[in-house]
Amino acid sequence: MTEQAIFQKLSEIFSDVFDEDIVVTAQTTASDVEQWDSLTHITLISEVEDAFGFKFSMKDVLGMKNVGEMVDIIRKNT
Amino acid sequence: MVFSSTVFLFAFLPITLAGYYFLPRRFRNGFVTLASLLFYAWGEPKFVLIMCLSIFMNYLFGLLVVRREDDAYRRGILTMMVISNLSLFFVFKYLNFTIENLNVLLGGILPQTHIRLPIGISFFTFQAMSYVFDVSLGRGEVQKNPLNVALYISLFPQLIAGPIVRYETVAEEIQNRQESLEDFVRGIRRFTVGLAKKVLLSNSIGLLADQAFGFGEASQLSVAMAWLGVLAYAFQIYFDFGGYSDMAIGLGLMFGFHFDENFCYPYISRTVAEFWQRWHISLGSWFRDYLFYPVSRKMGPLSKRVKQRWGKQAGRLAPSVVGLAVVWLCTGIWHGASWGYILWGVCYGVLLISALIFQPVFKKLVKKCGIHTQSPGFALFQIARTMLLVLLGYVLFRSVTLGAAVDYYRAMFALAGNALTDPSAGFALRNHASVLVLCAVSSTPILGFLQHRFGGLFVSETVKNIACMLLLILSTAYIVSSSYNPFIYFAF
Repeated sequence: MTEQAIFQKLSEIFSDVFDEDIVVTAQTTASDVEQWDSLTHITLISEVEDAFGFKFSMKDVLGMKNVGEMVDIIRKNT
Repeated sequence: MVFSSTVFLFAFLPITLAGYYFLPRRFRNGFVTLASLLFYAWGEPKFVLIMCLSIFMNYLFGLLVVRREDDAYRRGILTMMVISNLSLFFVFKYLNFTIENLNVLLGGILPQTHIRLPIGISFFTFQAMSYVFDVSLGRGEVQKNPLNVALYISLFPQLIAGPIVRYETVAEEIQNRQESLEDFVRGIRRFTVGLAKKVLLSNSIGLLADQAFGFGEASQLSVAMAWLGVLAYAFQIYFDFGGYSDMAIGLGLMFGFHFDENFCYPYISRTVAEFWQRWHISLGSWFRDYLFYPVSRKMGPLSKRVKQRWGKQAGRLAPSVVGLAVVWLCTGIWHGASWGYILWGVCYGVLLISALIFQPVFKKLVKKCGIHTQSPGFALFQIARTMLLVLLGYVLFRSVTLGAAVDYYRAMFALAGNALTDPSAGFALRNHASVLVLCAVSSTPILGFLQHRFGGLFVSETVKNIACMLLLILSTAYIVSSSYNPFIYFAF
């Protein structure tokens, strides 16, 4: 899957989880999305896992600093 | 040893600082570790051995957990680590309580234990567990030298009442840190501000809280006095614990350590969830990383079942609901072995879970009523509502027994045949008016805002230094003239 396609798909997932139109970039962080806290983080993670068909490690769940890092992990695992 | 005591301020701290900066770098870690053990042994000459046991045990678990890469092995070691730490924690903190309650059920057949609580055990046990968790997750190097683990767990600024420094935060600084004059000056200022919060604000306003909560009969406590008392307690505990955290962060800076913030103006929170992101942040993030995430992540199958039955939205919420329930039960238990704390934790759990479940309903309601959510009026309403819930929580937290808490609630809502107000309430209000105003102002970021907005005198280094000196002199005068007054969080 191309990087662009991953971002496209992530934007769809984010918009669905946070119930507003969101276009994510590599620099998007939790402080850019008002409702992105530890509770929605769990939902987001599992939706991304379902969509791309892999499991994040605990280290990834705790350590991701922005969407760019999330994309790197997705590319490594798919 | 207590930070706000003459022996700490005029003997322990200056001697430790002088020794630290006099010694060559390679001896500094060993020296601070030794000083920290002495600091602990000063108040707990026997229990210092328990802490040493905890250090040694987790040092070994750290070495073990990184020996092999495979997940099953690591999970096994982590399980053993958690069981060992919690067993030690259980014996010293919860065994008396457990036997007491079992005896109620079994008719007193078990011999009652009377084990004393080693000070700070809740903090250093959690900190020690963080070391092994972070090492296993690759968030910080494993320590080959047990002295470094000892330094991390026993470092005296954060040993007794936090912040619970996660290993990841200081892993790098344990081996390579650069002390600087700039940090040292910031550290002194931060420490002084914390000291002043504790002795000038918390201890003074605490008298009012003690007066209200020391009521004899609920009918004797007027409504005004009850509300005044719980408000005073809110300030007392915030400036006690917040002040302690400032002192810890300041002391850390003096030795070149940078700890994360533990408080961020909790009383201006708009929701209860936000309150817990601003209050005792280090405990919240400990529970989030090491309990909430792992538990919620295990709820995949439950989530799917709920989704089939009640729809997509419910399925998504299910893992968070279970995670929150577990975390808040544990948060209650962590604070102390009593039904009051457990109930207090459960209440917060229920509040946060309901907020999560009913959020879509609230959103629709607010939209339907045409309320502008960004308006200052709505923000004020939200802050007041959150504060009200927090105050109601404090009654449970502060009361000695559940019965006393119920009586206090009855007094607050005029259900105890009590008067609305009485002369003692008016007298107390007049007596503590200036401290109350100071507390209220210091609970908000107003001073920071003024500095930012007007600059000039507010940011002048000379003014800051003079203010700092004055606070130090005033605080010292209070410490010398008053009796022993330990921190509230020493009891946890």
